Amino acid sequence: MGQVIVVTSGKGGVGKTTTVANIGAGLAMLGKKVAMIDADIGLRNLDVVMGLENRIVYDIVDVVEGFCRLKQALIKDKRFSDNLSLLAAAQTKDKSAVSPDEMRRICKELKADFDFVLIDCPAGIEQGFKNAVAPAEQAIIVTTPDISAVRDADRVIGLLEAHGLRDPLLIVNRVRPNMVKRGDMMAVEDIAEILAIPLLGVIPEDEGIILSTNRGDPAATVQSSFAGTAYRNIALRLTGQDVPLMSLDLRGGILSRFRRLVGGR
Amino acid sequence: MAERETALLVRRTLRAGQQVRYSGTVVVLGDVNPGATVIAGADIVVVGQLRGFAHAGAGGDERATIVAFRLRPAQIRIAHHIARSPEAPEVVPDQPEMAAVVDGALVIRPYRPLLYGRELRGGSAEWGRSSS
Repeated sequence: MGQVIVVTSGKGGVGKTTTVANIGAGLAMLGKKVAMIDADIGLRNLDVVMGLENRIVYDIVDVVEGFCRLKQALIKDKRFSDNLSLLAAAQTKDKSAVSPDEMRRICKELKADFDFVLIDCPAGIEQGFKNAVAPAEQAIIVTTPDISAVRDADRVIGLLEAHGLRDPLLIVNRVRPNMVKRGDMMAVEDIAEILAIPLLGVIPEDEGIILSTNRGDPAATVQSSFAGTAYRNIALRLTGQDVPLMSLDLRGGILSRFRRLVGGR
Repeated sequence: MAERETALLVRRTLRAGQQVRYSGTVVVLGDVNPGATVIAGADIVVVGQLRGFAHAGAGGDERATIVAFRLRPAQIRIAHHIARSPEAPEVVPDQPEMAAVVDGALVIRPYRPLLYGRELRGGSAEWGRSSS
């Protein structure tokens, strides 16, 4: 039986979709069978980030309305030897086209065939959020080092507790080590202290992410990508491996971290 | 009038958007995060960090106090007195503090158990008895 994980944040634009795409890719590269669900109905994005837009035949609303079977709607990603599948959101409908019960039914079916079911939650805390959270057994909170994003993350953690989802995991995205060093950006430690949930990973700001997102190629597949490595580490941690955080050396900046790697600590 | 003798024990961290209202004293075993609200008829005690909004003596009781392990709220109120955090980043003392109304002004002082409520208001004779 697989595990259903929702990736959520409250605030928009912090990197939920990018995170789902890259963790999905990272897990698939480890040989895990992964299904990704785009729960952002009406504003679908995950297919674009994954470069699978032109392969959509059926979407999640077609499944819910009985126009097709679930298996028919799953788009298999050949780049990951079919380990990675996507259930696309509908572009035309809105969040009311799917109910929490229908999301639970879809995920129950997927769990039987996949090791991980990743749900890309829409921004906000309304119907789309409730749909995305309903079937989840675990949650990943994505935030950026901005006061507003951290505030929304805190609010969402409280709402998840009300849904019975305790102890979500934290990803701090788009961290700029140099700005943190100068005191111009919230440090990961400060964010973790306020939110008081376990830290799953830290993703450095990386221009390569913009490129790979626009190209439809998750950064996790690029060995040299800094952010991609951070995402691959997160995938490893989700499979139960103990991978040390890259972030712990943030105070020393990127260069000293390289030196430390080269110098073998 | 506030029910000073009754207290509500909140055994968790209050997160953004969460609110606790109670007619008596509120004790939080956890943090009060930014964006969270505590409103009490009597005192507020936070066994953790107070970074949100706190209103003690909400029914008008000026004797009410706010005590926190780390007092760094966005805004605090006691009865009808309001104080907000300074614009410039302040250095928060690494010790418990107490907010109270003294001579008609809301002040924050280091919290000292033995002097509870007395140092802030003068009353040295009574304080002398209690410390013996």
